Amino acid sequence: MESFWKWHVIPENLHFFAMGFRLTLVLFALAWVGCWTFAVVFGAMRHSDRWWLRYPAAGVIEVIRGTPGIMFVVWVYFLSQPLVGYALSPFWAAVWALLIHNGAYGAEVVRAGLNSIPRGQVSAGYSTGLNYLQVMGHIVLPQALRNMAPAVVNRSVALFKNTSLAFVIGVIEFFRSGTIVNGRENASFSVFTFIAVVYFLCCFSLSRLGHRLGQRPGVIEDTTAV
Amino acid sequence: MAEAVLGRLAAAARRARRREWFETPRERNAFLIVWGGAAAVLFWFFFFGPRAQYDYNWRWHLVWDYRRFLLWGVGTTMYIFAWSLGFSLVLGVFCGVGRTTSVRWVRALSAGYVEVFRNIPLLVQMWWAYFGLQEIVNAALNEPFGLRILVPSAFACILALSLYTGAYMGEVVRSGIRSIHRGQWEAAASTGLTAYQTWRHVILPQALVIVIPPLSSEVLNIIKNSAIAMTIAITDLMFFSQKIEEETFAGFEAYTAGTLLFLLLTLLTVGAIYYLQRLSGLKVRSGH
Repeated sequence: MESFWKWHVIPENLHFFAMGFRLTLVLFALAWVGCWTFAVVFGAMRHSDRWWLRYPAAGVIEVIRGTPGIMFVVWVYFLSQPLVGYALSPFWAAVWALLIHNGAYGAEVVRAGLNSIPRGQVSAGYSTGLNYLQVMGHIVLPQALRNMAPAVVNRSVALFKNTSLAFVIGVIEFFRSGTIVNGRENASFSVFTFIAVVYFLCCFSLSRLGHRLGQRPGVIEDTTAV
Repeated sequence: MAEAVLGRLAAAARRARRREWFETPRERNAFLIVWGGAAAVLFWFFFFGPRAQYDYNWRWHLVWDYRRFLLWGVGTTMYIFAWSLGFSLVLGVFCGVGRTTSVRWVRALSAGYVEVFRNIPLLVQMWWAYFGLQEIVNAALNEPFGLRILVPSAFACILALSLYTGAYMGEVVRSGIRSIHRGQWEAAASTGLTAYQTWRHVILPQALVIVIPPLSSEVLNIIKNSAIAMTIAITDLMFFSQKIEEETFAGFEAYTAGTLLFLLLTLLTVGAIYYLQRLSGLKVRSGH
């Protein structure tokens, strides 16, 4: 009888898993930085009073939020061909796709954070003669960042989970390294349980951090399933 | 939501009629610098940049030629969506109630369920439910009893999608129940209602109306997340987009059509949810 209990494949392929996990971490780090840059720019644009900043930003954010992440990864991969004339490598296509897709969700977090500061405080800042950057730096951001912190962590957890979508265009990150090992060893139960446990440990410890930051009233939580 | 959009459009039209596009000349200059600059960069990029030498052979007609593929994909996506929606709503309500009861082991069970399923990528869950479950079925049923049971990919997909979304919906329902004032519980208890009656007639009817806006965004997430089912051979919209790409190598066109159809599906669902709210006459506070 062939057993599904084949845990020995994990230590035997640990080196390969570690390579995949390292690539997942690199993907996460690059996409994280880009994601929050995108989010701050588009969130601030959407929060603006100027229609020519607000409406384009709203259009971009809502269209991106309306498309599935896995579709977006593949779409960006194929978009590079007509747009820049050559195909991006799967790795960079995945970085750009994860960055833009999660950045659109992050922009909503940033906008909610900016909205959590009463308009009166901003007006008071302007009337004392501060300019936009001063109002943002001294009045809005110190408060908004504290309100946003748990949502930022939640979105980062979602980004970490979404790095697994890079699998679909052939980036050998952690999940794909698992499917490759499974293809060779035929041990689906052990391999995918191992992968699930590792992802769980990473995401759970991160989201505990967000939970610790979020135990106050008035805090923004981003708990969307994407 | 629709009224707010219409109101904004009407205000924009009024401004346009009065030719008051900008409040100050300085704002007009900023507009010209930002968007004029963006237009100039795009113009340079497409006519003089690295892309200018490259000729991509656009074949948009393929989208129409393969319309049957795309329609079939839309049908499968809606099928997966309908089943997952039902299961995840039920799971979400039970989980939300479980997380707020006073029974400790129910609370711990619901919390464990939420944490486990929210912190593992859906892709991993789906592959676990398809390939991992098959090995368990082989060892537990097929080999001892000489059966040939195969886990259907639709079953694995709907199972994983419902469990994943149910965990998120449970958190939404929990926050709705938490927002019910304590006085409601006390009033229900003092009129002699049992625990079941309190939940059924006092708490849930109020809590579920409060959570309609965040819950509907989770409903939309089911459609979007169902695209992941393509990886376990569900013939959904994403799968057929890939199929068109495989047959014609027109990847960009195929996936753009698929993306737009997904966008259309989510917009139609938003419209349907809004219409149902209007139809039911519930006073729903608009969310974000």
